[in-house]
Amino acid sequence: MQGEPRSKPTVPPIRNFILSKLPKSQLASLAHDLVPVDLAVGTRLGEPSEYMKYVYFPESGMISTEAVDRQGISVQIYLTGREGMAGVSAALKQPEMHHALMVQAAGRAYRLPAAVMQRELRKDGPLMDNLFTYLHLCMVTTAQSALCNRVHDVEQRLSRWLLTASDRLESPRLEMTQETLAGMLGSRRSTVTLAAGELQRRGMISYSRGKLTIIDRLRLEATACECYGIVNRTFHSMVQPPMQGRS
Amino acid sequence: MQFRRPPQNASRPDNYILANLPDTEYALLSRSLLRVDLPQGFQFAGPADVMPFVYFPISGVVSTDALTEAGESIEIGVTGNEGIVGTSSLLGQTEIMHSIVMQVAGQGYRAPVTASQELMRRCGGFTELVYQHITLQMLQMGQSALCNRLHDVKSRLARWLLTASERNNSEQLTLTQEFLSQMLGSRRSTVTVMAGELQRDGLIEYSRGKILIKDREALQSSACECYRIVSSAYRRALHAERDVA
Repeated sequence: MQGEPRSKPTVPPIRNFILSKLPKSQLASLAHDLVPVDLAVGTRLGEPSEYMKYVYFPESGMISTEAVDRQGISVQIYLTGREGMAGVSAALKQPEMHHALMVQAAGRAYRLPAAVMQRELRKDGPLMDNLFTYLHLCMVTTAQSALCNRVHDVEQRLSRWLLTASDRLESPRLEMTQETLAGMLGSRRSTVTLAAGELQRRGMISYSRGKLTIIDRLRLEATACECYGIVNRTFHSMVQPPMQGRS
Repeated sequence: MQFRRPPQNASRPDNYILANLPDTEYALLSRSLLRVDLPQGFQFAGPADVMPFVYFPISGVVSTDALTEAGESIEIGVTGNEGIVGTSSLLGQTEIMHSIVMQVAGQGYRAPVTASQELMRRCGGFTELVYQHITLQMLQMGQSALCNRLHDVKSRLARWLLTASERNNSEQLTLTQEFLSQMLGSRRSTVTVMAGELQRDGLIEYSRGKILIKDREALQSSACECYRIVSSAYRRALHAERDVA
């Protein structure tokens, strides 16, 4: 007996959490508009006061959302990996960007026109629930960053973001230039270099030529400020089964 | 804050969201709206609380603060009559992560979370107004993350005073230095010195917990750009009548 016709488009298994939790019917209605794209490190997907035409659902890699001042100095406010979606304001029908979006770790994503996302969101259903949960995570992280940048020192903040990046990428190995690290923390390169050197000296990470590996995760967690734990609890309550930074 | 409202809704409460809701949705919500006093220090919620109501302020200033385990706190958002208090409940999150407190006394309307969530599920005018509010909150918080990292106490103090007075629609604010230092996440003594400098330069007048903005333009030059960035986005979004000078 012949099986199903072969002409049916085959969709590779979706790794993105928001998309993968959608019912098949809703995913099918989006399939035509979801375009796979490569995320190359350093690509800027949006700038403040620009209009976002697309939202991005990472399958792998990581997109950083940053607040930028008029001199062009930026401070990271949250990181999006395969658990989320970049471009939340466009999804919420507020297409004018307030923040900058930049690819911080190479990977792949599904790109969806913002207008399609908005149309789908007018249906009360799983997509709306998933987005709301993710939006809550973004808000918690952003709020925590506002506090963290005021009260925690550079070593704590560096540890916080290295752990977070490793969670989002599900790998203890991170490729990050000192420039990227400085941009994450909103601190001088020289300050970040010193802090990274200290974490390395104490055996928590190894770092050379832009390749950073978390060696002793538990001690890094103990060095990080509480912001890591607070955001992480929210993260794990939304992502089931848990994604892990450990290899 | 001054905002534009449809002329036919002139009799609605002075809250941007309530004033701009479509008639059908306003009719649904107004049944469960209750007018309440919001005195200074009123706690809408503390961390780990469950909020039974959302609030639509018509006057006063609401402060949302993040707290550390060591008891430090810092303000992450200011809400006035342009917004709604309790957005995380509307996103389906029952547990509050922050401390939400009335910083400058005012009044408002409250509605049960359940009624507001129902309205949210209609994906109509209310939902869009909430989306807009959330986006503005994210802008405000993100800017604070940058501001708290890069800008000094004096510029942050000026930013805060301008923002609070704009939300409160008044050049006068009643608040203690204790409040100010908590909001800015800086020592009280530092805040006192900076407030003293602003006063000496004739930008504000400060006595017995009352702050009067005397020279708004000069205060704007003392504030970091975060004030302009956030304020102009609010004005564009709310179609406010006057733009930032």
